[in-house]
Amino acid sequence: MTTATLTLEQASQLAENIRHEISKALIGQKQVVRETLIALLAGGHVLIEGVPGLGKTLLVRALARTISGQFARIQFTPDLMPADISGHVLFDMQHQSFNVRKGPVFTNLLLADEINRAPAKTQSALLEVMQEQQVTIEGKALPVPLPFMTLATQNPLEQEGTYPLPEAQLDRFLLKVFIDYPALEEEAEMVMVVTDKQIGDRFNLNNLQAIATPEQVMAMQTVAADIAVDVAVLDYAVRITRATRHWQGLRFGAGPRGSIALIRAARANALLAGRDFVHPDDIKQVCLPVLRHRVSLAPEMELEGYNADHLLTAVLDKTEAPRS
Amino acid sequence: MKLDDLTANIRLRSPWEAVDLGFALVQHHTRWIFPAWILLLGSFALIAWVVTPDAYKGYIPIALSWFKPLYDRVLLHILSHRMFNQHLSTAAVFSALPNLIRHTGLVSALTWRRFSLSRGFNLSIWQLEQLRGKTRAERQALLHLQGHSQAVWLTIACLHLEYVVIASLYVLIIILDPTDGSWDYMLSAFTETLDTETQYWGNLLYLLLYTLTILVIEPLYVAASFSLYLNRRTQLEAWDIELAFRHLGKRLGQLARQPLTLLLASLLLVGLPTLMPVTSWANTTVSEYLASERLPPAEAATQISTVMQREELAGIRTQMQWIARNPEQEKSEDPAALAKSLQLLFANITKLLLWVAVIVLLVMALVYRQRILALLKPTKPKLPTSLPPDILFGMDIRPESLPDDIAAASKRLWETGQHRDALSLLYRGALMRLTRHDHLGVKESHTEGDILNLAQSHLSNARLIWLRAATHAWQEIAYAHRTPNTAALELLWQGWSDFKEHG
Repeated sequence: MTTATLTLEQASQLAENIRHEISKALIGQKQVVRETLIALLAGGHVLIEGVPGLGKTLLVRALARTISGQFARIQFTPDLMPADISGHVLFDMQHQSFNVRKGPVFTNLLLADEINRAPAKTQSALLEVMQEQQVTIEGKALPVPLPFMTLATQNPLEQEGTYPLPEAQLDRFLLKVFIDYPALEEEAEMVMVVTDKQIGDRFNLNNLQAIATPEQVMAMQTVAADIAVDVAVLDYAVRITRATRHWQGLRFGAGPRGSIALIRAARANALLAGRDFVHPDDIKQVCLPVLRHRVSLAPEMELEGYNADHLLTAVLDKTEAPRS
Repeated sequence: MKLDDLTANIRLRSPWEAVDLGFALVQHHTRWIFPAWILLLGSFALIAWVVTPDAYKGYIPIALSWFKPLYDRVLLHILSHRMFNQHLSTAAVFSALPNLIRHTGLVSALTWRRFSLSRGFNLSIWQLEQLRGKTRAERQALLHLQGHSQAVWLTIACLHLEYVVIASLYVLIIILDPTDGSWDYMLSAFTETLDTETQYWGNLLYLLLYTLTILVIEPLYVAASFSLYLNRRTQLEAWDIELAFRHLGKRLGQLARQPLTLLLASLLLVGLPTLMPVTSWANTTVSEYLASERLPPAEAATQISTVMQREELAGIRTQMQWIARNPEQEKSEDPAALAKSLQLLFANITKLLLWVAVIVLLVMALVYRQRILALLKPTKPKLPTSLPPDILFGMDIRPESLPDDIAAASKRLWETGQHRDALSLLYRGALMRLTRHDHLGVKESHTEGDILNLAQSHLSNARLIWLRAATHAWQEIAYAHRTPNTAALELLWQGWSDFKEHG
């Protein structure tokens, strides 16, 4: 595998192209696409939450198509077993040997659809691969192809027969993205595109072109990792994360992984803007998706109808901007 | 004052029980209270009646009622002496009168303190304790801590009792008057103007009845108030305990003088149960009083019927009475006239009530004038809630901390190689203009991007372009540690005056 090198401008342009290509399939939802790209550039994973029928799966399929890498999808069901995800060892009668049968995680883009429908036991099969980018089968560590990104979706409406993600699992996701109903014009355009000369209601992804190769994506990730972060900005990110730990109304705040994720996401955000340095606005822009699944609301705040975004906005509003 | 002489049984009572004791006091000491009291009130009423011109005689009862604090003092004088078992002759009471008028705060009691609802309770402090000024106020506050509300309610109750008594007396006259003259007078007093003769007698009747009312109620009121006062002092100074100890001390002192008696008594107490004879209940017959005279029922019945046969008891009496021949005719006239007079009665009562309401409102307005005047004052406009911050991003952005010509100062710094300081100064200047002159609500948590967003709706296009360029240059040097080129800076320095002046 040869690693391509890209300049900042090229990387930024490539990211812009990917975004443009995805927007052909997923009309509207600019923020969601942007945040998914941030996760891709930062080498992180995304948890997408939204009611059914908003194009969560479509987004991931479109992303997989624009990157000419491998794509796998796991539909999480209550009877799914960890081995169904990671893979297992089979005894080959013919050759009298054990063969490793790799699971669907051995791919570039993994779509874990409706992740909260499987029990925690199955969900935790993803822990290792998300953190270490390797799967251990029968004591043997097998690396997954790079770049590797997990995109999990979940539905906030149905609670019956679902298993909320454990905190350790949630923490592995770089961003938690909310996908909301599209605006009127966007929806009208979407309906037109979908129904125009189409049989059934499936999106036709054939007209999407592969823009980047997996190598180029890795090169973009390298560029993103190179983006300069001033000490003051770093300090700002850490202060925000620390503020969540003693905030009134939060049961617990984000750990150091939250600060790390903030800086990683801010770097990717700066890359999307074509900048070679991170400034405090980058931190602010990525703060909500980065931290919203890493904090837990106190029960009384939940009863009063607050959500994590309300409190994080308050934290941002009270945290002093960097003193440079 | 010697507690031993107290004629009443002193113990801790509830306030209303104390009021009851006061009423009992009046009953018990009637013959010492009333001679002097009747003489005083009667002479007062008589003098008032004689002195007042005919046209104003209707107001005498009001005057009589106004001077109640004066009578209260006399009544309390008598009552307090009786309480300690001292008998005062009527002459002695009247000779004490000048002293009572002079030394019991009568002037204030008849003017502004006349409206006090606990005047009966407070009177003892003025008259018996002879306290004045601050000491009196403190004493009064202490006594008022408990029992004050009962004292107030007592005053209100007695006032209403007066209405009840006077109304009852009027009704009594109307009931007992066979001529209906008094009823006609009552109706006409409310509906039409009376001739002077009737008015004169009406006023006299009113004065008599009212004097009678005061005569009955006022001693009760004063005695009840006095008793409330005594009860409060008993509570504060533990008179009951002191008295109990004194009795105990006295009794034991006597016993100590007779050791033999004591010995005998104790012996008796120990030996008594064994020496007592056993009572045999079976031998006792209970005989009813008058049992010897009781007749058997049949005999009694015959005796009763014999008695009933007598002329005095069995007689039938015929009584003659005049009855109108055609009552219907009279009735036909009645309803209209009655309705009219009722209407007038109602109208006059309403008028009277309205006047009372007006007076009460005026008094209230006078009492609460400060609150009412405060409502009329225009409310002050609120101060601006947030003052512009002095320090932002750790930079002092107060106008006095910045040089007069910011662009020139920045340029000088740039030329000496202090690039960061030069841009910092320029950005500080921009922030100062935005917060002080454009009144942008910039907060500590706002980043450079937030400030740009805020400024977007406030600034003209040209100024916005300058601010964007300045922010960009500042971000470059602050976060990327990259020095912008001098040409870009030149543009910023040139644009500064425009940015400043159009703000």
